[in-house]
Amino acid sequence: MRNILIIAGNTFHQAIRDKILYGIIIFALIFIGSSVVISSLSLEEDIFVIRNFGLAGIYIFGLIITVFLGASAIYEEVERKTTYLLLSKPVTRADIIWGKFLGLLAGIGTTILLMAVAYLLILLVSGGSLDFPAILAVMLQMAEVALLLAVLIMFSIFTTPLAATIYTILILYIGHVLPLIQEFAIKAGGTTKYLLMVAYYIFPNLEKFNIRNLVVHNIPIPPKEVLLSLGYSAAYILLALFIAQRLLNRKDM
Amino acid sequence: MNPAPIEQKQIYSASIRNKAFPFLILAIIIASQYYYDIRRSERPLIPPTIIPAQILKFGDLGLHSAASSLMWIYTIQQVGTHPKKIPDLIKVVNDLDPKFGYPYAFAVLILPPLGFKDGGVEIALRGVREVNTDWKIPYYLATTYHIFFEDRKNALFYFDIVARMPNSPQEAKAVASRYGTSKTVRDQTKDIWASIYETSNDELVKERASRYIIHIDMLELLEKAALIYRQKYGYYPKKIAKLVQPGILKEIPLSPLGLEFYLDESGRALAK
Amino acid sequence: MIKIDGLTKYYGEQKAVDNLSLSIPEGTIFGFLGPNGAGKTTTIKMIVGINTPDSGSININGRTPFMPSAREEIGFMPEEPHFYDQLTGLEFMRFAANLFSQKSQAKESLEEILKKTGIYEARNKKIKNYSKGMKQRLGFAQALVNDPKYIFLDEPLEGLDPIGRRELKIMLENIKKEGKTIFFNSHILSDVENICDQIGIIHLGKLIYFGSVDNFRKDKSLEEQFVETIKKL
Repeated sequence: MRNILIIAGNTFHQAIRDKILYGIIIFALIFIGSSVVISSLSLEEDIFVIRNFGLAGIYIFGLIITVFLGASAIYEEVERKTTYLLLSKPVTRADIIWGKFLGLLAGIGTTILLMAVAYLLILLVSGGSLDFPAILAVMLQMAEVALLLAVLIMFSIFTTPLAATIYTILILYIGHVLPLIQEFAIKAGGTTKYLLMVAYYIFPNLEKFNIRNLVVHNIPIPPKEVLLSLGYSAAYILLALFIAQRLLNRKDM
Repeated sequence: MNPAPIEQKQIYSASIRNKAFPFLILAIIIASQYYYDIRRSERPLIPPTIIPAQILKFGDLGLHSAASSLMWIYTIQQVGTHPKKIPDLIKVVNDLDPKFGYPYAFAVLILPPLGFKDGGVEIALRGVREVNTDWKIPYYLATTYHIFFEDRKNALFYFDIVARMPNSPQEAKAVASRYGTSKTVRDQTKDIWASIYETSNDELVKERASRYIIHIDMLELLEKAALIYRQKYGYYPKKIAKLVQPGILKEIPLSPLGLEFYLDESGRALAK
Repeated sequence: MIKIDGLTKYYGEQKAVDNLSLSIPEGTIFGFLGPNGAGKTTTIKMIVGINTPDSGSININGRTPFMPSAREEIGFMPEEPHFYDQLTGLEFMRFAANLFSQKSQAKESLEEILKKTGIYEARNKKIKNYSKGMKQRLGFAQALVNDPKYIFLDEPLEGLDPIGRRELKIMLENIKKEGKTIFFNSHILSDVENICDQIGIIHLGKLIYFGSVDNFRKDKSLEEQFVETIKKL
């Protein structure tokens, strides 16, 4: 456990010192800030538009940062063989996987927190109130991001960093259209229906973490559902990292 | 060994050419963009692409409401240039986020003057179903029934809904509860538009409201002028142009709705 | 004592290490030599517990290196070591030291190690700005953070200039005087002649010689004898 935290801390320091990360964050802040300008084009409902674009910006840039940090960290370990220095010390492969996961998550979480604070300030300055439901939306976004990160780490054990990135982005898209696939499956019937329903249950359903559409309409979110989503994310993370650990144990470095 | 004077001159001019070259290319790039912009007004406007909401939902990573907002802003830009596409565009906005209220209200007010009376009403009816907390939708729907369909029954029905909604503003409640009672149709219409003007932050809607108010004011002005004419001559003029004379009117006003004013036998001002 | 028995490792169909057996006494310097691709790096990676052999056993001071706790006594410097570029040299040393349970090194000692290995001046510079030689020195320094009894080095002289090589060799001799056991891979034979107590020569995964330097080279230079021997096989 101790070594996991030490590796996590090291991974965190390594991640937040990357200059490219700062470039992405600046773009994110510009995007969120520009929601004020864009909302002025919307005639009425400018607060509605700021909330929509602000939360969408935090989401999209959060994903970009996740994929970027995750892929570069894995590339570093795998291609540049920094793992030799770790594995020759009293460090297990499990320590490395969990340490890297927690460290990257901390780095990503820090940037998402930064964007969320910027969003809340911009909303206050534009005449809105303190957006508590948005904070909940960002929390669920963190659960989604953690799940994707675990999946990215798992893929990167057995494929190249580029392929792992592409597979993770595919999982991202599939995860959000699963409700549409379910609708289509029900209409289709027959074997297509069963195949699609299998896919529906196996692929991670990322719409569980998407409460943005409810938040912007001030529709209340039942706490039970939030807990269920967090549990779903935790279960998936355990599965992905467990598989990653097994694969790494069998791999020659 | 230093180069000879002639060579030195060649080296010098070569280095100037090297330094000037990137600026020259940049100037060409800027000039071509400027020329393109000048020519833009000559090129035909490209009509907006209408992608069905179902397809957009596949690509928006679940950000349906944000996509709807984006589509809404895009739609507003097309009101001036491609008004005929507005019904289809608004349908996409509604399909992406059925709970986004304002587009429904906007549609039922803006579409009838563009020739889409039924389309506007259809959109508003969906809005009333989906978003029962937005007072503007039934209010603007009632307004359209009153003005474009002269359907007092439906207008009354929806004004009644607005009057009973807890979050509708005072101006709207006042107009809604007075509807159908003593005032003339024209006065009622003017009241409705005045309340819409006061409760809206939407420049397009305010502009439309003020046009109607001015039009009605002009009708009242013309009727007053006709009365003065009758007091003077004992009868109402056949041609409205007769009102232009010292003591009555300086000129016949132009209706901001683009309609032509005329008088009937009983001195009432009308427009066509 | 380091005892290796019947070590075998396949990469696919290829036997990278073939039934290797070695016994290295405490407090000696052992040079593991061979041409490129002979299996030196594969062997050393198994000895320090990075990879597992397909058959055979490894024993360091009576314990197997595949247990993380056994690696408390080991220091390893990989070939052309790569680091976390955004960290400074000192930060990396601290990170490495923290991974050991008995914190046998305090901060002063870390800086002492950096002084000994000649990169103290660059300790607060980011590793991405280090030259190849500096990285090599840092690689050696981090192998010493836990004051290990057994030190394994893969091509430690690579990338060092002649002064650097001499300095490293002096350090190895000093470490040996402290009673530590050193096992290193190299293909720069002229340098290893004078410091090794014993050498092992590996070719195509098989051990072809184990014993003292003098016994092997007889009256030739180590390099000459080595090249001849390899050619004969």
